[in-house]
Amino acid sequence: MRTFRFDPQDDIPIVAAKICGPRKVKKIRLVFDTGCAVTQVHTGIIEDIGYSIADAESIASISGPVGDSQSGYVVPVAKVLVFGLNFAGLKVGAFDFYNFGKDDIDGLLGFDVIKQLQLEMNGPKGELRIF
Amino acid sequence: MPEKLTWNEIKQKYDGEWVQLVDYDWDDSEPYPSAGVVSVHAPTRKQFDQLSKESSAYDAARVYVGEPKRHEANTILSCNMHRISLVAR
Repeated sequence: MRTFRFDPQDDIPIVAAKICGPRKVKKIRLVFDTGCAVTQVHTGIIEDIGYSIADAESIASISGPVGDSQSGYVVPVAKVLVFGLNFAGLKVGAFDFYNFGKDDIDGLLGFDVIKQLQLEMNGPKGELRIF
Repeated sequence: MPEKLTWNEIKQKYDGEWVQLVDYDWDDSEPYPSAGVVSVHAPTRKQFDQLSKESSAYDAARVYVGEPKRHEANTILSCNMHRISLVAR
């Protein structure tokens, strides 16, 4: 069992992750988001580590309850390391996070990853225990 | 080569900016780095992306320094409830 911390004072839980591409490796911060089906990372990071739309498996269009849809793409990423585990070949949605330019998040860790974990959350302590 | 700074020093020096850290110390179990050498910094995510792309650093951490916008009064950041439509390539 390993314990990972998030800020219990924050409005949303954010965890550290490492994303590895053919050109670079980046340590980033992702929202721990059980309501997000697919892990998403800011396009600028996806492209910085060496991917582009040419590597995409599919073109994606994302829409929320209100507002215009935004386009992006889904690309299999060499490695996503989070909670001490390696998610190789994870299909990650690349979307612009420019609307969150002054928020310290680089993307969303989705339920595609979270559902593979046996975990326990202690909200008041800001702890995620991964078994 | 710039000096390695603690996270508190980075917060004081680069408040409100995105920074790229090389030679960084960031325990996987912690939400923030504890130290690093600032190799790139910019006030906006767009400017930062461009500078980061031009940087030759292979392994680097990126983090926004300062109070996030979502902490401002009357602001709530909600991340989920999106529908994604896919078209295979």
